[in-house]
Amino acid sequence: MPTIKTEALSHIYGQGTPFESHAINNISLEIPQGQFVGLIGHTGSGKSTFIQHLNGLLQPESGHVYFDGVDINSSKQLRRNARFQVGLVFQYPEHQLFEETLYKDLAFGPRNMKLSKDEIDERVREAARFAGLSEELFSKSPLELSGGQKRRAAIAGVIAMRPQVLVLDEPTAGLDPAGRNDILENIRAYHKASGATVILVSHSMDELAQIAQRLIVFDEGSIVMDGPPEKVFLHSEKLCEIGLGVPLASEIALELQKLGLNIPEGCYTVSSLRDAILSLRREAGVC
Amino acid sequence: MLKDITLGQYFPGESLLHRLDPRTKLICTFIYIIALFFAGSYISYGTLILVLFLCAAISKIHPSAFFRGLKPVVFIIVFTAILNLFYTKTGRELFGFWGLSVTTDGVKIAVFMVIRIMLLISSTFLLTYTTTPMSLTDGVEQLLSPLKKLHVPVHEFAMMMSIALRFIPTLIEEADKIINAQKARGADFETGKLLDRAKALLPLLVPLFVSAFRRADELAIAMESRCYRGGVGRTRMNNLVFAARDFITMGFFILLFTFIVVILRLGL
Ligand SMILES: Nc1ncnc2c1ncn2[C@@H]1O[C@H](COP(=O)(O)OP(=O)(O)OP(=O)(O)O)[C@@H](O)[C@H]1O
Ligand SMILES: [Mg+2]
Repeated sequence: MPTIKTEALSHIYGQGTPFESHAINNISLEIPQGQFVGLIGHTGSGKSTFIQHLNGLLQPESGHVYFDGVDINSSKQLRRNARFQVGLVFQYPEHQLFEETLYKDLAFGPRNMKLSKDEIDERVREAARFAGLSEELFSKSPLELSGGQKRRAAIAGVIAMRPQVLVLDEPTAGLDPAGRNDILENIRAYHKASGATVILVSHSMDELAQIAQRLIVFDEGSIVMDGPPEKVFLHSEKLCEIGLGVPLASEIALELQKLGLNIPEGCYTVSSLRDAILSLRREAGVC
Repeated sequence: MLKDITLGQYFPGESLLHRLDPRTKLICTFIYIIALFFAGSYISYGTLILVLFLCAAISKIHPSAFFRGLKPVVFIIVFTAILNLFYTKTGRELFGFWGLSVTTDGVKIAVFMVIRIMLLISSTFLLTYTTTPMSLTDGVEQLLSPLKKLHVPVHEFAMMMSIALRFIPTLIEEADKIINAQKARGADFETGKLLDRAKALLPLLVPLFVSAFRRADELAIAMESRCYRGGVGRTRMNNLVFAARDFITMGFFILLFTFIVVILRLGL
């Protein structure tokens, strides 16, 4: 049963003003429960606009958003319920932290769900663990955290609601490689442990190649490609055309194939390419 | 919902109103508002409405901008109208219920009051819509500069005003962001009783204040690092000069004012 479904979703910012802009056009897709989806697109292609429809923060100009078969915009109550089911981590985490202490901030979602005190406490601790935040930070103001810790806090605040769908808007932008890998690892672990659907927005093909089961490519407000990474990366020219490119490993694999080497399709991560090259060498008896 | 607040907003344009000296616009708005308080008859209100429509037409600003500006004060307008409607005892009684009565004078005063508030607000909107915050504060500073002799910190006052105007849109944006962040985690601004919704606003105010103070701090550092030391010994790049159109406009508004006062005197 599909968890999230959108039907001909369109959104226009500033309708009727000179600043009118068609951010997304006619987006229809289905995301089944438990899938790990990567959303990629050039800057301004409408990714953030699209995902803000999934929990009803933005209402579509036309089209529908269904969660578990229910149109979330059919009543205010349903829309609010959808926010507990579809947790959204914003593009700029510093906009998302507003309480005096980290603990209170993480407890904000569960408190709105009217849970008991013990339940809230349990969820806050669990969420902090998943996001890799130590409990010593609980009494600190979120503003005193480092950039990476703020990211983690923003993610934990959403995880604390135990949403069935976790949507993350560029959670690793502006972090160093170690911090980026850490956070991706945390997200992957959460996906595995909770069975939640994860939708990850990113600019980095390499990042998504590592982690996503399905890639959706946005360009100028529309979906131009949708499929498993190994299929999407075959269209490297098209991807370059819209300014995205393919992961480094995939590029190398394509070049090697052009040289006549027998590299199997679907080598788009560094480790799978390494294995392919090693097995070729073994066949050739080099080592 | 906060997007309706248009205070301090500027609409770029090339009209006569845009090109007028900010001092002229300030003085004329001031004259217009005073005239508004002298108005009390159909003729005077009609004239003032006409003048505002004329100015708005010259400015080429879309009328919807004015309606959007009036939206947040609808409550105050309706409230004033109701008070005036029921508390005026003179005139012929039209109808009454529960010991309250509505008279012809009551209706007239209520209508005038509503028109007066709307004109008051629209005229100030016309000023801010056609004047950049920078030139507006320049105008205020220049107009008040005689007070410098009395050691009134005019420059500092004008600077405060320009910072306030500059940051209104920023604060609104900030508030929108916080609202969205809280909504995304289930804060209830939409359903529930009025009291619940009002309570949901409280957690919004604290972070908004915190961020405003943080911004103030950052701005102070930015200004100091560019050697800002207040108005003493400060010169300006563009000095304001009156042109012929400024004198003509001011003359027109003085005439308008005289006309309204004469009408009041004659009791028309
Ligand atoms: N609040 C807004 N008001 C008006 N226009 C907006 C607003 N937010 C976004 N837009 C416009 O909508 C389009 C899509 O923006 P969106 O933020 O969804 O892009 P994005 O794919 O998330 O980009 P990025 O990768 O840079 O975050 C852009 O053209 C942008 O200018
Ligand atoms: Mg974005």
